[in-house]
Amino acid sequence: MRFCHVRNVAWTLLMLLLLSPPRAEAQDASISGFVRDADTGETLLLANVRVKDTLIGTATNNSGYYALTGLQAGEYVLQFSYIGYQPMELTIVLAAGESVRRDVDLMAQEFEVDEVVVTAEADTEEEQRRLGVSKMPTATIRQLPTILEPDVFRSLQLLPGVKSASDFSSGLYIRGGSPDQTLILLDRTTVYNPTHFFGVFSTFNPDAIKDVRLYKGAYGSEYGGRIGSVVDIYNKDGNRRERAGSISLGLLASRVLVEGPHRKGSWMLAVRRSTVEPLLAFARNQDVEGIPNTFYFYDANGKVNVDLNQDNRISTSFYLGQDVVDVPIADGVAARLRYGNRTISTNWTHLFSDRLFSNFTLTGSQYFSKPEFEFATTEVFQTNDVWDYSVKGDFEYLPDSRHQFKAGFWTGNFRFDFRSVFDGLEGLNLATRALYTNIFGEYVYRPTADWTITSGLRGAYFSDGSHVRVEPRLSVERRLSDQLFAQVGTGRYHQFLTLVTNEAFSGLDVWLSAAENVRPSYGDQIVAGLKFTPSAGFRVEWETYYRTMKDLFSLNPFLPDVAGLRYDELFHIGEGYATGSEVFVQGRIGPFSGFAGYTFGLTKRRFPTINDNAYYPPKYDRTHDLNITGTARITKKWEFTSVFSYATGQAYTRPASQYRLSNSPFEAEQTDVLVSPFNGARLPAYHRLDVGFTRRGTLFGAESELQIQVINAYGRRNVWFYFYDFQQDGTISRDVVPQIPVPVPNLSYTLRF
Amino acid sequence: MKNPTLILTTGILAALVLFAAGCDTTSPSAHEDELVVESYLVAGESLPPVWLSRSLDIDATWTSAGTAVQDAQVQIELLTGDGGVEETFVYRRTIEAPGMFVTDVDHTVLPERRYRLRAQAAGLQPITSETTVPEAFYLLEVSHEVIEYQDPEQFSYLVTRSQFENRQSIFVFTIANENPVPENLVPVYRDLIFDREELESGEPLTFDPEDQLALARFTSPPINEGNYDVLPDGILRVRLPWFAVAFYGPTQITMSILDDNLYDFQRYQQVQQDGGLLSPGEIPNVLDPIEGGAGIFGSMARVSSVVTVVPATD
Repeated sequence: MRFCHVRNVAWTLLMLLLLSPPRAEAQDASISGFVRDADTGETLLLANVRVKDTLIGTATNNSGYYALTGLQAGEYVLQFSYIGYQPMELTIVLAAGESVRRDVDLMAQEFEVDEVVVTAEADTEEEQRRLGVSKMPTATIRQLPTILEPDVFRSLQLLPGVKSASDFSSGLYIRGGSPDQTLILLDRTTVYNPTHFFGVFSTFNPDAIKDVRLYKGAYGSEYGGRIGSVVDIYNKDGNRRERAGSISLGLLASRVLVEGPHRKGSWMLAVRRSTVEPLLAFARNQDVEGIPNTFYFYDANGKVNVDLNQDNRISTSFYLGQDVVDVPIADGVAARLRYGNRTISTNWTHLFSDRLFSNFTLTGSQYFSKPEFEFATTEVFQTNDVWDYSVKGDFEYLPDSRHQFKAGFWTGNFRFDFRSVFDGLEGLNLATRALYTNIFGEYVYRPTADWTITSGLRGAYFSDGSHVRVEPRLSVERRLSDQLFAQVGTGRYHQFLTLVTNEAFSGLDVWLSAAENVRPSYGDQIVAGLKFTPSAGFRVEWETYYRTMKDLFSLNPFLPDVAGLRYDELFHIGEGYATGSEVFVQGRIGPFSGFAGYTFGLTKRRFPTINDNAYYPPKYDRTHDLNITGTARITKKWEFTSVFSYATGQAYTRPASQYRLSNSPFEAEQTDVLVSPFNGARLPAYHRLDVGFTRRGTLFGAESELQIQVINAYGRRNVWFYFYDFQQDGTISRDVVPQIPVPVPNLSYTLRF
Repeated sequence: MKNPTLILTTGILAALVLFAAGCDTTSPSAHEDELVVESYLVAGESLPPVWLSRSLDIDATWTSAGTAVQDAQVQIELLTGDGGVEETFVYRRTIEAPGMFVTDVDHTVLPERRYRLRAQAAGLQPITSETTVPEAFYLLEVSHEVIEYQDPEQFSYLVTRSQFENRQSIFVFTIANENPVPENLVPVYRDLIFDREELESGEPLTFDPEDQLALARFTSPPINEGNYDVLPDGILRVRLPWFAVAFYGPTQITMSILDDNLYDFQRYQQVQQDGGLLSPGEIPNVLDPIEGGAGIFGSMARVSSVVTVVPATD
């Protein structure tokens, strides 16, 4: 019944938007269109559009569309700009009430596209200036020194407020939140396990990606479903001008990208596959023990775009990828694991008018994880499958330059199956079939050129447990000068899912959902910031935040067996909070460019099962975190890139006392027990320097790029954790388990044609 | 606004000052000596010994004799339904082992009854702990007296159920071989324990002492009753997974049902050792039932049977 109610509200909202006449006055004129890359025809998301010598401006939306409305008759000079592209000016004369459509093509700046930048230049960027938003160009992702493979998430970890758990984890710990508190979207489709290689790097192939945007917190009402943050990733549309492609050979994997135009649009296909099998085969032939019989991963991204006409575009994109490993341990003992994701989305962009933009998407997402273990004919296996099919619609209505409305819905079917079998006996069989519906409305009001007030409301419904939640959002921006903006934002957020994972290994990840007696998590966020662009090429940002986390439901780690338990008995329910302050500085002087991010942060959790229900810092809590990234163009062909990271040591448990029990009726050995304040100590500080050289050239007429990188250049032996081992002689040894302990080289070669 | 740089700088400095003060969010603590107790009541069996010791600083060297508490007042009380004391069993020190206390009273532990332990030693806080003994259960039938290794039929047995008020029964299985020598190892364990060179050398195989201890008695983690088939007459059928069998020969299989104290202690201690879902380096404390000290005072009901495992004939 509640679902029907929510659905009715959604339809009412939608119909009001569609049927209500534009509030624009009859004499108002408008300019609208798409902003594209001149070479490839790719739409550019969040490109900046301004009317010269005025404060009137906007940014392209997630489809590359812009609209300036409520203009008086007259001559206007429009300025278009986008990171790594030559700014462009366009003069347009508008008659009273005239609506002009201008699609604009921007030329790439060859000398800047590869520089390490995160946000654009000193222009007043309407969208990127938004509170808590960072954008990571894919050129930067490919450029940064990285472990084995260029990686979207590892690049995001360099931004202030974003932390990593270890050198071996690409998980995003954003503003004190765990990775499951971040919504990961690929072409508007939820991705449930975005990792390869058991978590070492993420699934997103940088060749296939056009745009990566991170909403760190206090995000607007158009997003929801996670109490922390959002990573919104868009695949490339494909080159609309000519066929093109690239081949990259790396130490771990190789990548191929092909793209090109067709009669009414474009297409793109990017494939990546690990290429370590020959190395494994060699090791097996040398009788090296523990080498997998099978180990590989692959992923493929594809997209087809069809421009039906000027006002209607359709695109379909897909992602599929999986990791497979099969390790023989001994005769009769083997472990196998297969996990991966598949997503598909079809998107229809429709312009009802130059003032009313719409986007409809059908999405499908599947995540699967199937570990198997065999020991002396005893078979143990698990299957975890998540299916998520949805339809979503977004509307943007721009009656004039002072008012902007957004509204949308997202409804779908979430299906989850988890089955665990031990020696032929089914210990657990969970199945969730839940409908979910979200509706949102957002109103952006600009009473004067200096003030922007964005208010929004989001409603969420989850059928398993009939949970209905309302989420208000509000942000206010004040322009203090042409270079300085002050912002504050707040909102409430809900989350109906939780991830069962282990920081050290993501291949066994399991998603669980809220239900009848399991309430969804929720949290409130408040963020304030200052954005300062003192001159062209420089940008300084400061943000501070406080957020709460309530009703955090996660799998109780102290359940050795879950067979026969009620669903709500699987969880322990906790809470937490996080606060911090971030500074981001970006600059460019001559051949040097780079950015630096500093974060002061603290986060605490408490669960009744841990630390006597007292607050404790989770392991990933790092008080101080500093990342400095720089690029120097040495010559026209050679470029040097480096990343330096420093962070307070992570929290860990340093045992204070010990005792041993020698008379257990169960154990032949002693029962060893440690007594410790939970996470009451800090590891030594973490620091690391990565360096890389890039040489550009040509080979058989194709552009070539050779990358030589060294990770952990000075061989810092950062501690991952300590392992305490009770010795036969009555002592306890403390062994250091390091992160990447030595300098690790990385080599790749890319040809673009 | 005249000076945006000043505003930004002031804002940043204010934030840094606000959050300064080092702000280390951790708080290490020091060791304090505690009385450690160890005692396991078994339904239908005599009152067990009580072992007392003291906890040590993490950097100290543990010895059995060095940590044993030799002088203490120890008693176990049988409680009535309303918490009163029905009978008190006084314990005395024994010379059999350091820190071991026994009672001279001949008392059989009563199922479904509550017992309380009290102990006090000089210089340490007195401790108390209570346990409710699980309902006794019975072995009705075993499938084999002799079974071939990896027989698809598997060794199984039928037992009655033991009821708990708020939860299902929790089992722990111990599988102990009477002659755990390398020659009796089943092939899988031979391959796991010895490398190829050792197996092909022709030399007599010898165990590492730690391996021998671990293999001599295999103990399962706590297992829920929900894993097993409940037959229409309410009888539970339990099968022995082959991976739990490390040796050929006579093997004693003991199935224990745990009280809350033992269940909590076992499951927390397991996470402390293995980490489980916690991040590496996060070590939770064991959930023990001892007020004023540490260790375990718990109870169980148990049944045993013996099966002889022989090599497969094919």
